[in-house]
Amino acid sequence: MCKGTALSSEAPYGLTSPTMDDARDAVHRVHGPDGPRVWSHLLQAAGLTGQEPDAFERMLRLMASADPTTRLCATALQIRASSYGHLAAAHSSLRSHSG
Amino acid sequence: MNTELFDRLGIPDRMREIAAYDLWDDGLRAGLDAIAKRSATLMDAPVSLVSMVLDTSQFILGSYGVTSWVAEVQGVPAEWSMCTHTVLAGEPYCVVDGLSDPRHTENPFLRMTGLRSYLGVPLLGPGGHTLGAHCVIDGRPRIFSDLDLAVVTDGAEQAMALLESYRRPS
Repeated sequence: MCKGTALSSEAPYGLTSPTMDDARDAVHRVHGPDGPRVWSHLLQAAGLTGQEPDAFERMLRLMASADPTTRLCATALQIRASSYGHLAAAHSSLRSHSG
Repeated sequence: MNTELFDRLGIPDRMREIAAYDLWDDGLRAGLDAIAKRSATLMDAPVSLVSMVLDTSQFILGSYGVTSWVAEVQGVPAEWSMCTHTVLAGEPYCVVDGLSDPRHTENPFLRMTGLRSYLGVPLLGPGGHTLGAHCVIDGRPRIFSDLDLAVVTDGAEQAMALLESYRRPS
Protein backbone atom coordinates (compact mmCIF):
# COMPACT_ATOMS: atom_id res chain seq x y z
CA MET A 1 0.00 0.00 0.00
CA CYS A 2 2.60 2.52 1.07
CA LYS A 3 5.91 0.86 0.28
CA GLY A 4 8.36 3.31 -1.17
CA THR A 5 6.24 6.37 -0.47
CA ALA A 6 7.38 7.25 3.03
CA LEU A 7 9.88 9.82 1.78
CA SER A 8 7.39 11.79 -0.30
CA SER A 9 6.68 15.11 1.41
CA GLU A 10 3.43 15.43 -0.58
CA ALA A 11 2.21 12.02 0.61
CA PRO A 12 3.90 10.99 3.87
CA TYR A 13 3.48 7.23 4.23
CA GLY A 14 1.22 7.32 1.17
CA LEU A 15 -1.31 9.62 2.87
CA THR A 16 -2.62 12.56 0.86
CA SER A 17 -4.45 15.62 2.12
CA PRO A 18 -8.20 15.35 1.45
CA THR A 19 -9.76 17.58 -1.19
CA MET A 20 -13.15 18.89 -2.26
CA ASP A 21 -13.45 15.84 -4.51
CA ASP A 22 -12.92 13.59 -1.50
CA ALA A 23 -15.61 15.50 0.42
CA ARG A 24 -18.04 15.11 -2.47
CA ASP A 25 -17.27 11.40 -2.78
CA ALA A 26 -17.81 10.90 0.95
CA VAL A 27 -21.17 12.68 0.95
CA HIS A 28 -22.31 10.68 -2.10
CA ARG A 29 -21.10 7.46 -0.45
CA VAL A 30 -22.77 7.74 2.95
CA HIS A 31 -26.04 9.24 1.73
CA GLY A 32 -26.54 6.72 -1.06
CA PRO A 33 -29.24 7.82 -3.53
CA ASP A 34 -29.69 11.11 -1.61
CA GLY A 35 -25.97 11.93 -1.96
CA PRO A 36 -26.19 14.25 -5.00
CA ARG A 37 -29.05 16.20 -3.42
CA VAL A 38 -27.23 16.57 -0.08
CA TRP A 39 -24.02 17.65 -1.84
CA SER A 40 -25.88 20.16 -3.97
CA HIS A 41 -27.51 21.59 -0.84
CA LEU A 42 -24.13 21.88 0.88
CA LEU A 43 -22.61 23.66 -2.11
CA GLN A 44 -25.52 26.07 -2.24
CA ALA A 45 -25.29 26.79 1.50
CA ALA A 46 -21.55 27.44 1.16
CA GLY A 47 -21.96 29.58 -1.95
CA LEU A 48 -19.68 27.26 -3.90
CA THR A 49 -19.82 25.63 -7.31
CA GLY A 50 -17.74 22.58 -6.30
CA GLN A 51 -14.96 23.56 -8.68
CA GLU A 52 -13.05 25.75 -6.22
CA PRO A 53 -9.76 23.97 -5.46
CA ASP A 54 -9.14 25.70 -2.12
CA ALA A 55 -12.58 25.42 -0.57
CA PHE A 56 -12.07 22.14 1.31
CA GLU A 57 -11.69 23.71 4.78
CA ARG A 58 -14.78 25.84 4.24
CA MET A 59 -16.81 22.83 3.12
CA LEU A 60 -15.53 20.78 6.05
CA ARG A 61 -16.78 23.39 8.52
CA LEU A 62 -20.19 23.39 6.85
CA MET A 63 -20.36 19.58 6.85
CA ALA A 64 -19.49 19.55 10.56
CA SER A 65 -22.63 21.56 11.31
CA ALA A 66 -24.92 19.64 8.94
CA ASP A 67 -27.03 16.52 9.61
CA PRO A 68 -25.50 13.80 11.88
CA THR A 69 -24.40 11.51 9.02
CA THR A 70 -22.70 14.33 7.13
CA ARG A 71 -21.07 15.38 10.40
CA LEU A 72 -19.53 11.90 10.66
CA CYS A 73 -18.13 12.33 7.15
CA ALA A 74 -16.61 15.62 8.22
CA THR A 75 -15.10 14.01 11.32
CA ALA A 76 -13.52 11.25 9.24
CA LEU A 77 -12.12 13.73 6.72
CA GLN A 78 -10.84 15.98 9.53
CA ILE A 79 -8.98 13.00 11.04
CA ARG A 80 -7.36 12.38 7.65
CA ALA A 81 -6.49 16.06 7.18
CA SER A 82 -5.02 16.37 10.69
CA SER A 83 -3.08 13.09 10.34
CA TYR A 84 -1.65 14.37 7.07
CA GLY A 85 -0.74 17.70 8.67
CA HIS A 86 1.09 16.09 11.58
CA LEU A 87 2.97 13.59 9.42
CA ALA A 88 3.88 16.11 6.72
CA ALA A 89 5.21 18.49 9.37
CA ALA A 90 7.21 15.72 11.03
CA HIS A 91 8.61 14.65 7.68
CA SER A 92 9.50 18.22 6.78
CA SER A 93 11.28 18.63 10.13
CA LEU A 94 13.21 15.40 9.58
CA ARG A 95 14.29 16.56 6.12
CA SER A 96 15.46 19.94 7.39
CA HIS A 97 17.50 18.30 10.16
CA SER A 98 19.05 15.76 7.81
CA GLY A 99 19.59 18.19 4.97
CA MET B 1 -7.87 7.61 -1.52
CA ASN B 2 -8.87 3.96 -1.04
CA THR B 3 -12.31 4.02 -2.64
CA GLU B 4 -13.11 0.31 -2.40
CA LEU B 5 -12.38 0.20 1.35
CA PHE B 6 -14.31 3.41 1.98
CA ASP B 7 -17.31 2.08 0.07
CA ARG B 8 -17.31 -1.07 2.23
CA LEU B 9 -17.21 1.02 5.41
CA GLY B 10 -19.49 3.84 4.27
CA ILE B 11 -22.67 1.82 3.76
CA PRO B 12 -25.46 4.38 4.28
CA ASP B 13 -27.49 2.27 6.76
CA ARG B 14 -24.36 1.61 8.82
CA MET B 15 -23.33 5.27 8.87
CA ARG B 16 -26.86 6.28 9.88
CA GLU B 17 -26.74 3.81 12.76
CA ILE B 18 -23.46 5.32 14.00
CA ALA B 19 -24.89 8.81 13.57
CA ALA B 20 -27.73 7.96 15.94
CA TYR B 21 -25.33 8.21 18.93
CA ASP B 22 -24.19 11.43 20.58
CA LEU B 23 -20.52 10.59 20.12
CA TRP B 24 -19.27 13.98 21.32
CA ASP B 25 -20.81 13.82 24.81
CA ASP B 26 -18.18 14.30 27.53
CA GLY B 27 -19.88 11.77 29.81
CA LEU B 28 -19.80 9.11 27.13
CA ARG B 29 -16.14 9.80 26.39
CA ALA B 30 -15.22 9.54 30.10
CA GLY B 31 -17.10 6.26 30.44
CA LEU B 32 -15.40 4.78 27.38
CA ASP B 33 -11.99 5.96 28.65
CA ALA B 34 -12.68 4.02 31.86
CA ILE B 35 -13.59 0.88 29.91
CA ALA B 36 -10.39 1.16 27.87
CA LYS B 37 -8.30 1.66 31.00
CA ARG B 38 -9.88 -1.38 32.66
CA SER B 39 -9.17 -3.65 29.69
CA ALA B 40 -5.57 -2.44 29.36
CA THR B 41 -4.94 -2.84 33.07
CA LEU B 42 -6.44 -6.34 33.27
CA MET B 43 -4.32 -7.44 30.29
CA ASP B 44 -1.17 -5.57 31.29
CA ALA B 45 -1.15 -3.81 27.92
CA PRO B 46 -0.04 -0.23 27.15
CA VAL B 47 -2.90 0.80 24.84
CA SER B 48 -6.63 0.20 24.59
CA LEU B 49 -9.25 1.90 22.42
CA VAL B 50 -12.99 2.14 21.93
CA SER B 51 -13.66 3.39 18.40
CA MET B 52 -16.20 3.85 15.70
CA VAL B 53 -14.84 3.04 12.25
CA LEU B 54 -16.27 5.67 9.92
CA ASP B 55 -16.11 5.61 6.12
CA THR B 56 -12.57 6.99 5.77
CA SER B 57 -11.16 7.05 9.33
CA GLN B 58 -11.16 5.33 12.68
CA PHE B 59 -12.71 7.73 15.23
CA ILE B 60 -11.35 7.08 18.74
CA LEU B 61 -14.05 7.72 21.34
CA GLY B 62 -12.39 6.29 24.43
CA SER B 63 -8.77 5.43 25.02
CA TYR B 64 -5.99 4.53 27.39
CA GLY B 65 -2.29 5.00 26.70
CA VAL B 66 -2.64 6.83 23.38
CA THR B 67 0.14 9.33 22.76
CA SER B 68 1.62 11.57 20.06
CA TRP B 69 -0.36 12.89 17.11
CA VAL B 70 -2.91 10.08 17.36
CA ALA B 71 -4.10 11.44 20.73
CA GLU B 72 -4.51 14.91 19.29
CA VAL B 73 -6.21 13.79 16.09
CA GLN B 74 -8.40 11.22 17.95
CA GLY B 75 -8.17 8.78 15.10
CA VAL B 76 -6.24 7.35 12.21
CA PRO B 77 -6.95 6.88 8.49
CA ALA B 78 -9.13 3.82 7.96
CA GLU B 79 -6.58 2.02 5.79
CA TRP B 80 -4.06 2.08 8.66
CA SER B 81 -6.54 1.07 11.36
CA MET B 82 -6.37 -2.41 12.86
CA CYS B 83 -9.97 -1.91 13.99
CA THR B 84 -11.01 -1.64 10.34
CA HIS B 85 -10.12 -5.34 10.03
CA THR B 86 -12.23 -6.17 13.10
CA VAL B 87 -15.20 -4.26 11.70
CA LEU B 88 -14.97 -5.85 8.26
CA ALA B 89 -14.51 -9.32 9.78
CA GLY B 90 -17.48 -8.80 12.11
CA GLU B 91 -15.81 -11.04 14.68
CA PRO B 92 -12.81 -10.91 17.04
CA TYR B 93 -9.61 -10.12 15.16
CA CYS B 94 -6.14 -10.94 16.42
CA VAL B 95 -2.63 -10.07 15.33
CA VAL B 96 0.22 -11.81 17.16
CA ASP B 97 3.02 -9.76 15.58
CA GLY B 98 2.23 -7.09 13.02
CA LEU B 99 5.86 -6.86 11.93
CA SER B 100 5.87 -10.45 10.68
CA ASP B 101 2.18 -10.82 9.79
CA PRO B 102 1.92 -10.42 5.99
CA ARG B 103 -1.46 -8.71 6.43
CA HIS B 104 0.20 -5.86 8.30
CA THR B 105 3.92 -5.71 7.51
CA GLU B 106 3.41 -2.67 5.26
CA ASN B 107 1.10 -0.81 7.65
CA PRO B 108 2.93 2.47 8.37
CA PHE B 109 0.93 3.01 11.56
CA LEU B 110 2.58 0.01 13.19
CA ARG B 111 6.02 1.15 12.04
CA MET B 112 5.41 4.67 13.34
CA THR B 113 4.02 3.70 16.74
CA GLY B 114 6.05 0.58 17.51
CA LEU B 115 2.84 -1.30 18.32
CA ARG B 116 2.92 -4.95 17.29
CA SER B 117 0.10 -7.10 18.61
CA TYR B 118 -3.65 -6.49 18.56
CA LEU B 119 -6.86 -8.05 19.84
CA GLY B 120 -10.13 -6.40 18.81
CA VAL B 121 -13.77 -7.28 19.36
CA PRO B 122 -16.51 -5.70 17.23
CA LEU B 123 -19.12 -3.29 18.60
CA LEU B 124 -22.37 -4.68 17.25
CA GLY B 125 -25.21 -2.21 16.86
CA PRO B 126 -28.85 -3.10 17.42
CA GLY B 127 -29.49 -2.60 13.71
CA GLY B 128 -27.20 -5.49 12.87
CA HIS B 129 -24.20 -3.49 11.65
CA THR B 130 -20.70 -3.69 13.07
CA LEU B 131 -20.14 -0.09 14.11
CA GLY B 132 -16.68 -0.11 15.62
CA ALA B 133 -14.38 -2.05 17.89
CA HIS B 134 -12.92 -2.29 21.37
CA CYS B 135 -9.30 -3.35 21.30
CA VAL B 136 -6.12 -3.85 23.26
CA ILE B 137 -2.76 -3.23 21.57
CA ASP B 138 0.67 -4.23 22.82
CA GLY B 139 4.18 -3.17 21.89
CA ARG B 140 5.46 -6.74 21.94
CA PRO B 141 4.48 -9.86 20.04
CA ARG B 142 1.73 -11.53 22.00
CA ILE B 143 -0.36 -14.66 21.80
CA PHE B 144 -3.68 -13.67 23.31
CA SER B 145 -5.43 -16.17 25.57
CA ASP B 146 -9.10 -17.08 25.92
CA LEU B 147 -9.08 -15.03 29.11
CA ASP B 148 -7.77 -12.02 27.15
CA LEU B 149 -10.59 -12.47 24.64
CA ALA B 150 -13.11 -12.65 27.49
CA VAL B 151 -11.77 -9.35 28.91
CA VAL B 152 -12.05 -7.50 25.59
CA THR B 153 -15.44 -9.06 24.82
CA ASP B 154 -16.73 -7.90 28.20
CA GLY B 155 -15.32 -4.42 27.53
CA ALA B 156 -17.03 -4.31 24.14
CA GLU B 157 -20.36 -5.29 25.70
CA GLN B 158 -19.95 -2.60 28.36
CA ALA B 159 -19.04 -0.02 25.70
CA MET B 160 -22.07 -0.89 23.61
CA ALA B 161 -24.36 -0.74 26.65
CA LEU B 162 -22.97 2.69 27.50
CA LEU B 163 -23.33 3.87 23.91
CA GLU B 164 -26.98 2.79 23.94
CA SER B 165 -27.62 5.24 26.77
CA TYR B 166 -26.35 8.02 24.49
CA ARG B 167 -28.55 7.15 21.54
CA ARG B 168 -30.56 10.11 20.30
CA PRO B 169 -34.33 9.63 20.12
CA SER B 170 -35.30 8.85 16.52
